[in-house]
Amino acid sequence: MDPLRLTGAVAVAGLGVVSAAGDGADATLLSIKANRVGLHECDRYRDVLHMTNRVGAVSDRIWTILCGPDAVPADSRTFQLANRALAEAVRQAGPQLAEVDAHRVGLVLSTTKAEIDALGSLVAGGHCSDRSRRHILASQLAADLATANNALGPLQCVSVACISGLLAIQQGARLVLAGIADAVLVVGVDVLSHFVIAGFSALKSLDPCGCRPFDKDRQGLSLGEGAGALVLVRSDLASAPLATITGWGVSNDANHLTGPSRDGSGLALAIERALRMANRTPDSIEYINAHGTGTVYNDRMEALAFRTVFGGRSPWVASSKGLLGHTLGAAGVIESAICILAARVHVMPGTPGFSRPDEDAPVRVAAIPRCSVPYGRILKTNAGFGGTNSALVLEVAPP
Amino acid sequence: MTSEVVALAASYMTPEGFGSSALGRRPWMDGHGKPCERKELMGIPWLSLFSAPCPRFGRMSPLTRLGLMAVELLDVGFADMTEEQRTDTGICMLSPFGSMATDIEFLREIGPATFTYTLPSSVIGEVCIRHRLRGPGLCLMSEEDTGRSIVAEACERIAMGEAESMLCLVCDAPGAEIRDLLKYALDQNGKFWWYAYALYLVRTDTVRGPGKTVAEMVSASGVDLCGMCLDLCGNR
Amino acid sequence: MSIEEQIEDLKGKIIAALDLEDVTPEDIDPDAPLFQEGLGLDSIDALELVVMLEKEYGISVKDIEVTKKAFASVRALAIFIAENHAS
Repeated sequence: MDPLRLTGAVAVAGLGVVSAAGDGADATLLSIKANRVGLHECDRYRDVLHMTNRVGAVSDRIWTILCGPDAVPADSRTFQLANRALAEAVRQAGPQLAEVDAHRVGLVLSTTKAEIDALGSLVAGGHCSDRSRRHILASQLAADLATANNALGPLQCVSVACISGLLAIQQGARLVLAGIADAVLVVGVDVLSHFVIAGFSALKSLDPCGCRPFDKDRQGLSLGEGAGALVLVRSDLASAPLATITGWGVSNDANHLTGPSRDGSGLALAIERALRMANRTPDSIEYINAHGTGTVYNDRMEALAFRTVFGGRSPWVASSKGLLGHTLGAAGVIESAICILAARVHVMPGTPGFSRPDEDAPVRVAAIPRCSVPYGRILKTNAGFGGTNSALVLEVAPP
Repeated sequence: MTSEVVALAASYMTPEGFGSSALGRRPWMDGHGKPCERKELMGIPWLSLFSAPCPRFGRMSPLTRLGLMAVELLDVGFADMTEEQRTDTGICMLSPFGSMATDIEFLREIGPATFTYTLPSSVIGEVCIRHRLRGPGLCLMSEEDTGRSIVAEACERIAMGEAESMLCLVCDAPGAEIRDLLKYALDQNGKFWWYAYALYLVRTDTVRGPGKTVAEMVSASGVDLCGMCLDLCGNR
Repeated sequence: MSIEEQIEDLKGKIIAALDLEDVTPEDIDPDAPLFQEGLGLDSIDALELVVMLEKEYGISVKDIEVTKKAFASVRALAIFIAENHAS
């Protein structure tokens, strides 16, 4: 197999993020430096069918701005959240994006459930606004986000469970590399919903105490919501790149619909594919931001995968889900954005929620954040239902 | 890229009938052996179309069953392939309405098994589990012509060396309830019925049998996967 | 109901709860393991069985260790139900 060599041809020109970590990159960085746990009990999600209402929610203050009485339009939470992250990313990209013809700007959306609670209202015999009803269908949400951001080029909507975010970034890069677009807006979004909380409760996968990634006493995951956006441009158009995307890998465990393969070989395969595409050895990776959901099985699987690829010489490994919760379709984009914005200021994010290592899942966990650490070569991993795995190699430019 | 990739097999299933490049085009038969239209997705004699048992088929969603069946009809012979070949075989799929019908089912009755099928990528999962495929997967919910065709996505993965062969699948099982609840317009073909079209693509230099290159098929019938499948399964 | 009748009744309920379309009650050996081998049920099936116990028998299962013993076979489950149904 002759691997593709990207040679840094796709750059990240702007990023945006809104989540339990805060509104925007600056607020998010503060949360990272403080190693904050972003999971709290949220009254809105108290329900007899919910195992817990401890979630990583976007603050009420932000929701009021986005969907309160003064907001226009005042509905479709998913659209409003996604658009907020996009606005920040587009602003940061500045002329690198503004000078590209609108028909050469694409948009790739990643979401697992779009405006699902609106569907819930309709099924229960209630009502929802026209926009919310429209955005129940992810492709229509993508179309409206593209129109709102004057991205008149190719449009794709990715839905592959929890690896959707990383796949959306890859799809954006592919469109640029194929010459179909000169710039692509990549946006990942998922909002907390009764649908998803009830679903993970039925699977008994939630930890009422809040997720504890890689911790000896971990019990399950915590759900979160948020939106992340990256503006990808052809490298030659990037006058001020934040990072370049140099490689990716995708694989399937072929094992079970909700349980990852026990030996981590599927994720190891995805990581090896990403490193090969990036023309990098495992030694060259300086930091791993893992999927790290806090379930017994995922974290053990990831530990095994990292051991397979990195042997005894692993870089620091962290998970951001104790801060964000598991943001599902948004995870890959938000977590990649976090990697970039932190590395740009020489901060290595830690693992909020982690206390004690698990001998059964040995990982070199970066428990607390490290500051003043110059580094740039990052591996981001995610895994999802259906046995899907993905890895992305990001090379962050010095500021 | 498309001249480096050959379509070895095609299949389809619609209310009007089913078929594959091996079987040709077949009508559905009713209980008396007469050709009939299968308006309801669940009126299909599912299990009789499988060559080997498919455990847990009963709890799968209609979309998942449809995807599995379309791949089964391709009759690729995955079981005879080496582990390496199956490791490097992936799947690109497109489903405009995805798991929405199952989402509605879950909303009506919360349950763990139903929840696991409230993602269109459950099709990828079940296909990979059944045939032990570990290659790259993709599932798009966009309309086919707004981005890049799913066939082009699959061809790129092969041409770039990310996979040796790829399954390509377009399938949808929206259900009439979605039309009534959501009041979405039907598309021009009235495509609110269920359908699945599948292709098996391999790199030209590893070809294990006769087949047209994707480039040849595109010039004959455009990039539309459905059109390509119907062509390969016998004249339209 | 005798325990044998309860076992037959339970087989039907298991087939229904787990959508085992291609399995008949005659196919199920009451003493064979339910998980791993035997019927080859998985973790999702285990969760569905817990839901079934609640719905059909009003039994609420909380303890994992109790579940493992109760789910060892159809007979073990029938006995577990008989012991807990009355209370």
